[in-house]
Amino acid sequence: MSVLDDTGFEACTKCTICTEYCPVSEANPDFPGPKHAGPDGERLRLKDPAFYDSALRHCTNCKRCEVACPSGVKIGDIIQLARNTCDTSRRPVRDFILSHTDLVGGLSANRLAPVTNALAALPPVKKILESTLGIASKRRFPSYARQTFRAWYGKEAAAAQALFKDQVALFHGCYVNYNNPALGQDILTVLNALGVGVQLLEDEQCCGAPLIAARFLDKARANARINAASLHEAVAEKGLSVVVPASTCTLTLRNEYPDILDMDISRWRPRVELLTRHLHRLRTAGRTATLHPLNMKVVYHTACHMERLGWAGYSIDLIRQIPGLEVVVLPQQCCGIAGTYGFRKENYDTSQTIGASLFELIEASGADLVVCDCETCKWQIEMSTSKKCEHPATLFARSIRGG
Amino acid sequence: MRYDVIVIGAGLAGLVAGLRVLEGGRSCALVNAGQSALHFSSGAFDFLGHLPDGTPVSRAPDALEALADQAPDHPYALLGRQRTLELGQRAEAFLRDRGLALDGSLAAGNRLRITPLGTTVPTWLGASEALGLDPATGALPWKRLLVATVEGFLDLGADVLSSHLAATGATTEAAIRSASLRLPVLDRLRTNPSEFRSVNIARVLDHPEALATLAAELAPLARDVDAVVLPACLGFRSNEPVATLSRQIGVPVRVVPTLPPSLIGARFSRILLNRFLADGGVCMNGDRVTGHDWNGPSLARIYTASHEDIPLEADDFVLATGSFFSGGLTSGPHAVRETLFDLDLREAPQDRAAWTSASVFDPQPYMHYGVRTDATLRGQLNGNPVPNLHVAGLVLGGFDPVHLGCGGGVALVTALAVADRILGTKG
Amino acid sequence: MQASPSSGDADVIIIGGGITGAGIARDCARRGLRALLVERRDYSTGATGRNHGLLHSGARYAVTDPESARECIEENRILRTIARHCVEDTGGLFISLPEDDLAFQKTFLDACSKADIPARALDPAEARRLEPSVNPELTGAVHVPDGAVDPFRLTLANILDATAHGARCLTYHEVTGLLKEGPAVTGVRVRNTLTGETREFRAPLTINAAGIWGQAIARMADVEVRMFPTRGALLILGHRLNTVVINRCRKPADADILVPGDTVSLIGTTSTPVPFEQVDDLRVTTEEVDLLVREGRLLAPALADTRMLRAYAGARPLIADEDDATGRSISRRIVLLDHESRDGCPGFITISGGKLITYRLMAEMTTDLVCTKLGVSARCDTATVPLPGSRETTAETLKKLAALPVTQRRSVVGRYGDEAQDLADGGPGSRSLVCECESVSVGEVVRAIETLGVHSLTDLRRRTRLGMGTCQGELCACRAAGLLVQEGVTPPAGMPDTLARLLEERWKGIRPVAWADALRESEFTLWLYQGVCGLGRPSGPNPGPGPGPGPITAGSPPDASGAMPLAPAPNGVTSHATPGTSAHAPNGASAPSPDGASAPTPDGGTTHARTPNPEPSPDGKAGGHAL
Repeated sequence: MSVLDDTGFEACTKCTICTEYCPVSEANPDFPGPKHAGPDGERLRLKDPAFYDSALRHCTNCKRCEVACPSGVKIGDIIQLARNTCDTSRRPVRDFILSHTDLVGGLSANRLAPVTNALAALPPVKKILESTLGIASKRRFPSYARQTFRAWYGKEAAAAQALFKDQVALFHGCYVNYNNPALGQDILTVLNALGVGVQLLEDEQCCGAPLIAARFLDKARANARINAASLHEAVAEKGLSVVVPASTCTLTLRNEYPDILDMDISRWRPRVELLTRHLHRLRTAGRTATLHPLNMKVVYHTACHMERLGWAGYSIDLIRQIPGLEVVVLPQQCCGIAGTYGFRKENYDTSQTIGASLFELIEASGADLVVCDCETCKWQIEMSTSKKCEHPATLFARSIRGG
Repeated sequence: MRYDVIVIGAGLAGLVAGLRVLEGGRSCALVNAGQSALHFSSGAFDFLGHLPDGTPVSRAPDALEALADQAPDHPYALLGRQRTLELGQRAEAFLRDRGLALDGSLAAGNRLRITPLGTTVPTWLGASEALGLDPATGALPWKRLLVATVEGFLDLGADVLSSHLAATGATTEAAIRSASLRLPVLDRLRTNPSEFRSVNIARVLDHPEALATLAAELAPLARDVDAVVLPACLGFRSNEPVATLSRQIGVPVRVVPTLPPSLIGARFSRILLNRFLADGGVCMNGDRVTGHDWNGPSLARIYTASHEDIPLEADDFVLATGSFFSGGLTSGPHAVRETLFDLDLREAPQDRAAWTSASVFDPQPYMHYGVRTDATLRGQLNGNPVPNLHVAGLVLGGFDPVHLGCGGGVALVTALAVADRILGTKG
Repeated sequence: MQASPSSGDADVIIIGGGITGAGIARDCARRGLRALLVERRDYSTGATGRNHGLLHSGARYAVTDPESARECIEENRILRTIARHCVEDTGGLFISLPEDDLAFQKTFLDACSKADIPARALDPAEARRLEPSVNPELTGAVHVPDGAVDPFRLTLANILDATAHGARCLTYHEVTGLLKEGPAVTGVRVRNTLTGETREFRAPLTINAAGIWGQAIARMADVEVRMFPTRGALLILGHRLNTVVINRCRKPADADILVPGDTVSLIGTTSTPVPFEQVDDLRVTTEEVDLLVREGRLLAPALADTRMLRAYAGARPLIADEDDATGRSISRRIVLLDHESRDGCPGFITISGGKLITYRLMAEMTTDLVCTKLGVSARCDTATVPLPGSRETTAETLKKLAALPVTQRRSVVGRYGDEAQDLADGGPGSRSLVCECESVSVGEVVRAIETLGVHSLTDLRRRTRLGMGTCQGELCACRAAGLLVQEGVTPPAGMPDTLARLLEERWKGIRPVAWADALRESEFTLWLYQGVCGLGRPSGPNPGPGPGPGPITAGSPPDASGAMPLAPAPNGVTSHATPGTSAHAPNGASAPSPDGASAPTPDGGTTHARTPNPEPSPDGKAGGHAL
């Protein structure tokens, strides 16, 4: 049942807590806020869809409103669905480029990547991208790898991974594949140390989060169908669990497919989970690795979608196992990037305003490193602070390797 | 996942219980089904404002015996006068130690806080920047006041506040001037097609440049007054902007908390939650309990919506889920129950007509409903206490927190009491 | 405009500001008469504001009362033209369920056809496509041109047109006695319930359009009109559950109409006799609520899981058959009594019965009689001239308001039609919302206060829908009360009482449905106002939100659903009714409405003194505003 078919929005008691936790409301006075855009607006749109307000486009789908709501209203989903069903405006080319991560990644992550990366970092190029496409020129672009993770895996890892008696499948996501194959290698290190081999899915497309955000729903559905088939094959036919390193991919596969795309995924959903949650299961089952001390201080930033999943505890527990590591959990707060949102020219200032106080906290923390399960948060934090930001698996792999 | 203690509910009671067990060296996770009622509070905590028979209370310590006579099921009565007062006094220090700037104490007696309607309500601890009457004189601590509101902000009318302050005898109408601040810096927010809320205003005014424009507009108006009163729309993350403004205009600034979301209450909640994280607690926000297993008479583990098949296990559990609003109690058309474990309630008639009173201003029977416990504050099933399920805050039965003005006190006292019991220090 | 036919304060005095009185005021004013309307509370506070808000196609009466059916369909067509902004063309379904006799559908279709009501049988699948919320077990359905009508807007539009044509309309003016010269009624004695001031108005004709309170008015003229109040209880659901009106295709019964109206749906109604003493304070019982939910879920199963906002009841102003003590023989038809010919009481006319949607016809009949008596020859034009708000198309008005945020633009055009164009340019802050549930802005509230005669929060609610949404005034009440102070309607010292009265009035409707989310919301409201704001009960002895009880409130058209026809017309009765058979038709097809209209105060007294409303306006606005 999709959110709009149920009447969960009626549980809203108009307490307005969601508005207080909405990062966009804080930074952008054009946004009417989650309560009015969500449950209030829904009553009006049920009267007549013409009540749809195009200001709902400012929502970043961070879902902090849902986490804050004491009444269990799926406010973010209501807003997404309203945008998907009521907004008929045209989408700029820029949105196409930003949201079609597979296409752009496929074109960029190759031997020419160093050239592409260097070009994309040149101010004149960025100016052109801003004036022609509306991509924020102040934004530092993520760099692309010379070789995709899948290509590396096929050449360098597949055979060795198959030797492990226990296997999991990895939904690596676009970031690992195109931008940061090293994280994929870290994940293999961690799982292998626990005696588990890693397979890739038969076919993997972008989970669809940026496509849903930019309302390319047909493409999102097409991707979802391919992913669902691969996940079904891994889970139901091969009996594998599937691990996902990124919190947003995890949320999209598990929650947005049924809630926003109206898919029945009950056959594989319970076996598809965040990497660190699966590592918790392995640990509970008695699997341990030898860890070397990392004598440093890190701060953990809970990404918005991680907060919505409610699984930050698994990542925090994971890195707290590392000897010598001091872990401080940062207050729950959005960094402002919201996936591709912060890459749009018109959202750049909002994005940085939202994140400003988090950046201050990070700078003041005295930490050596920020840890986070979300790659877009990583880009934002690295661009906006002096600190590097890594995935918990990277840190854990480092501890396994001994520094 | 396993912790020493799992607290269900992150309102005032849950946060304080969690902070206290962390302080005692236990690991603790907080399962938090959405933000708490603390966000709607006035930013003040009451201890006991009235007895059930309507008698106003000026000093809670002197009234606890009468309370026990009139309301023997009240948590204060269960704990006993001495223990209640001891816990109350500890709560004062506990909250201040964790960063809440609060005035007042049980020893000093009830203070009168001033509401956005200009009425006065007895309270125990109030945010130090909030406007209140001088406990000693019953008057405002200043002679000449400027009540300045923000143009377009509807939650507090300067005229309404002034006229009621004068009517209470706290001051005279002549001594109060009112002003409406133009603050062009808010114009963009004024065009926002939603409520013009205190929180949104604060998030603009807290910026130093915006604060400077506020000071510039206020300073000439404040030249011949002893203090300035503003609606609480300043100081989202801390009360520092209020102090800064006061320095800039050269007279004390006090605020009056307005409609929800309560700026001060929400700030208190955030301060306590961040402290909980900083102290090593694990917070499961936006999660709700969906199932549980018993181990003999004890609670073995709980299951939640987010964690699905992975249980959360603990030696001790604290139930601090609040009343109906917060979901601790659930009502259908013909039944009231404790939501998570179906614990015994003090009273819960099936006849819906008996839950409410005809006038909204009469005490509402449903406000008394809640979990039955003995002095150990453990939940009961069919009359048998669950040894490791401790109950704190408004999910407890036997009192009407609004009518008696005791919700804050009950939350704090019972939270510390259950934490003590878990830590083995008392009870 | 012809010269006035009489001296005195007015040519005609109309007692009652319900839809009937408003319609008469409009018709009289348009025919050049000097009309004066007096209403003891606010407009639409009687049965007008306490019904389904159903724009009957007439199909409901086609089998049992063909005459009423024909009146309905004719007026239905007229209202779609003259009151476009008050009407929603939803269409209606009459569904048959497995327990209903499907053979009745044939009888029903034939009867609709005879009454000239376009009706078309649908198979169950078609019906489900048209209205997905309908009970999927239906065995058949008939589509008819039912719709929804907003009684508050309709009444106000009539008042606006009446005043534009010179009528004076005084709310919060309670009739305390009739002026008589010999047997003749020559005027009224009224008391301004906000200020306590009394005065007299004289006119050659006085019309009793006071609804169920008309019996007491008639007694002031020493004539007997036996009314028989029956209560109809309804529930308001939290959102629009259905988009098409759903009725049961059977003899009318309890809880068998589900009407979508604005942001909500309404299920009703019951029909039970109620003693006269209670008509000022009708309270819905838990049993009635349970019955409405039980029966309502048969129309649309999702109703059982839908949040209830409130329950309310209205009293139909039915005229009792003089010879029937049981009250079974009651007409729900239009009853126009010329007391001069009936009772030898010149200068006095009673209009009652009828239905919300036949108000215009009732007004025309009454005004025709008035004109005959006053020797005025002007013809009625109310069937063809659009009401204020319905003079231009929605698209045209929307275009003029392009600068407003979309939810506000659509909301105000929905509420005021083309009259909303004054809201095009507001100053800074005018777009801030006061009521987020119903998208009521500061600009809209200020306009209502300035131009629509608002004396309290409940008046404001009837004009704007402020406080009619999910939270029932929880957050907006305080802000709106602040605006009443700012605009000089309420003195600063009166603000807490203003608020307290609204909360008390809202609670009256919430209490019968206070479980689950409604109870959570109630607890939240209690914390806010009694906890955070320290609000206590209103200081005056009058616990109701209105200025007080009294005999006069306009009545509204009752329902003709199948009740027995009026017995042979007594002398002077222009009975529009033809005898019909009719079995009991419980539902109140009459006028019960989209909201739990205002709360009467529980004293039911008629003429004794009461405490004035302690929130009078400091600047003479109190009472008697001129629109």
